[in-house]
Amino acid sequence: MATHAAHHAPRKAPPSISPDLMPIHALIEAEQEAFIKEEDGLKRAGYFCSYTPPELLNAAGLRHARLFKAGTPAIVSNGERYTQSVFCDFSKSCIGGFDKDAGDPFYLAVDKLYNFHTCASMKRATEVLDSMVPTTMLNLPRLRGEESSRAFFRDEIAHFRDDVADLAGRPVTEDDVREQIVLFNKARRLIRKFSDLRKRPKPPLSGRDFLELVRGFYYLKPDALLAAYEPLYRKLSRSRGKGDGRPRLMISGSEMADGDRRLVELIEEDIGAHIVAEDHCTGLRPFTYTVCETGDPFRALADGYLDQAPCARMKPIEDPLDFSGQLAQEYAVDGVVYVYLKFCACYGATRSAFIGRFQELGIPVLEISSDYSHSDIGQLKTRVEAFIEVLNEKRFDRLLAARAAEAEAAAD
Amino acid sequence: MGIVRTQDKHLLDPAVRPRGFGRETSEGLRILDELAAGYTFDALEKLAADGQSVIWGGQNWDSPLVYACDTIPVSFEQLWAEESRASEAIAEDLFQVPSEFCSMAKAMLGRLHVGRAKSVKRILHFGSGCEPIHSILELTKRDGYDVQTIDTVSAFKAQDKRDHAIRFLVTELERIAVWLTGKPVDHDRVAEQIHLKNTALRKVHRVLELRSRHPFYIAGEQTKRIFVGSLHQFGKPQRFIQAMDLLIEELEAIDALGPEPLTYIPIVLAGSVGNVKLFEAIEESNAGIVGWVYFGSHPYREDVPPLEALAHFVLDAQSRGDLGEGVGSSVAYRRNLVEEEVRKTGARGVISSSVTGCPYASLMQQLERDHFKKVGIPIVTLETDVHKEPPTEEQITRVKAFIEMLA
Ligand code: SF4
Ligand code: SF4
Repeated sequence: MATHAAHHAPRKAPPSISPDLMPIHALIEAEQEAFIKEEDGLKRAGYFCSYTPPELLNAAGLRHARLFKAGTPAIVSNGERYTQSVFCDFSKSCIGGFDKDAGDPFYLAVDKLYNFHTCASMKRATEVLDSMVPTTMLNLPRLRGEESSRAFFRDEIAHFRDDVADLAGRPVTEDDVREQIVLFNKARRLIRKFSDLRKRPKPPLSGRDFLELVRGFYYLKPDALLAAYEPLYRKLSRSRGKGDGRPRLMISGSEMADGDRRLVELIEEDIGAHIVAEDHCTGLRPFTYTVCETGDPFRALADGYLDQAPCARMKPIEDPLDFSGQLAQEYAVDGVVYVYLKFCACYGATRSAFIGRFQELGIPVLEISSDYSHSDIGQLKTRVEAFIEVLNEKRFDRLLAARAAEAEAAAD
Repeated sequence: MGIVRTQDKHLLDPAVRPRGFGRETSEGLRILDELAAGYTFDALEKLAADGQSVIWGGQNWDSPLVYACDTIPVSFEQLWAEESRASEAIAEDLFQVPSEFCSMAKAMLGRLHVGRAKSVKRILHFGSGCEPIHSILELTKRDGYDVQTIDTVSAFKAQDKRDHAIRFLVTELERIAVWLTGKPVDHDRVAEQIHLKNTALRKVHRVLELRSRHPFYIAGEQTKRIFVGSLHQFGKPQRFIQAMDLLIEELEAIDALGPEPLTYIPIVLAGSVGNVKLFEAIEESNAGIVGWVYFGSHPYREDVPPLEALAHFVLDAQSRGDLGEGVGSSVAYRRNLVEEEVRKTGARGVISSSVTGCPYASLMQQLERDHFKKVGIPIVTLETDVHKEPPTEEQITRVKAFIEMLA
């Protein structure tokens, strides 16, 4: 059971993941350490968003990682010096992490930062960061259905290739990229298979564990990842799981940064429900697609990443709404917890559309507006508990109705 | 022609001419006010009801294309010109937009909802702009609006203006022309409109240049109108050009008399202050706005095909820090434009203004604060919302104290 102290110091907290995941957790920590300290002559590249293809960073032989940590209060407040209060805490963390005196050593080890223009807040944050770390920004279209937008994205990805080749000081050929597409597809497929295990009535891994696997995807090299994950998959797929009878939940909304685990821990450990799916860009969402392994690799990456489950910044909004609704149904969830970071326009301003969609599907929703301050944990707990209680009542009613129907059928 | 008509030498003499002389008698300003009065939500709605093609948006860098498609673009600003409080409440109550978002985006959503049964039902929008606008425009589709987005394309820095981005924007603009008219774009007509807008922009540039030496001739609110008109000419390019010509004539007549004595504190304004009372507070404190960084008056290129010219224009503006968040301008560069203006005009300080709750402007202001502190140029930053309510006592006091400090 997570203690309150753990909630207040998320980075230092002992991981509340299952023992099965501990070797992977250790690998990730070791890689982070090496990223900062190892003198291997390799350049370090960092990126923020799941629309960035790491295939190219890997093809260039760079040491790379997604920068998606939830900043400590000190880091958030460093970022806030620029943003004032009107940005989400994630974008503040991104700026604060690069503060040369008080930033995050992991961020400060980065030689070059890449950011695809996702939301305008992150674009602005990157414009500020340009004076702290060498930066390249790239365009990401929104009209994913338009052929010309796809062709444009292909050209941006080819430009990205040139940039990373320049950073690495070596050419990146089309064959190099194709090879990486195959490798990353394997890693994505495997993570998807882990998630599929959660479709079972008794999931053999928790939502917290799944987030740890996703975390590995963004920090570990794919070959190291496959070597560590394959045996674990074999083990978990044979496991019978536990905790039958608990409500099944999906988390939907803004990204849930590395270290922002208080809600997940609250739901799974304190209250006792299963998180079986995530419609956010640091959970299941980026793993629901495969990149085409033949033809022009840049076009394949452009199509693959645009075809992936859409973030709310994509148009039309019906696409992310449809995806979210379908995912909730596919994982047979009893309820959705819709969480958006305060000031997130992508998920905050459109919350009525998302909530409306779940309601149309008859799926109860709990809406939470969140930040990294941890000041509201008591209130959060009360609200989540009340929600789970409602879900339990509904499940109980459904069970009774099913029993009654069975009895009626038997009497006939 | 107010100045020439008076034939009164004394009135032309800056030493004796009362301040504000031009505001009452200037024919150029009268036409400008008349143009602004005719460019309202209601007036344009009437035109649309009579069969004229009218759209929301398309009034910025893209206006030559829209005019070439026989369409009048209505500035989004009209959506918070009136009933902005009520509109904001609709966005929060009906659409559940969280209260932390800016009043601009919320007022737009609410006002579009109120006008959902009206004739202007098409919205053109450039995807490089801010996120809140994207989100609220998606929500307006539920009220039956036909929203077309020019996909997100940015030149993040000057060296980032990529050829394929120009090519893509050209195809986007071709698509928009078909959406507007059902036909392929008429390149010659776009070229004509670019030429016309360039004429207007050059005149605006000259007016602002002259105004920097005679900062009281055109009041703050009216100068703001000139900037806004530089984008879309209030739907009447020729009449706008006529107003600028008259203003140039008037200001040149004054300018010919030689430099005015510096009896005021010269300052540069970055952005625009939300309320006329703030302009008054600036002038009452004996400050003159000699430089103003709002919308630039750079011309479009006429040496490349017209749609390419539009694409270059917007990508150049972004990486110059010009034209604001509406075009996805970089937050890192406006300070260069402001500093250039300070150096050019000899201003003693900068007033930087933004919309309350606008994440992008707040970040830009922080960069400006840091930068100007480093280079030793005094700056005060203000925030105002889009509601046309009087500024708070605190805001007025801050402005006055700042100017007093500069004195
Ligand atoms: S949480 Fe929202 S505002 Fe923050 S970076 Fe993500 S999409 Fe942007
Ligand atoms: S004030 Fe800022 S956030 Fe609001 S609509 Fe305007 S640009 Fe967007």
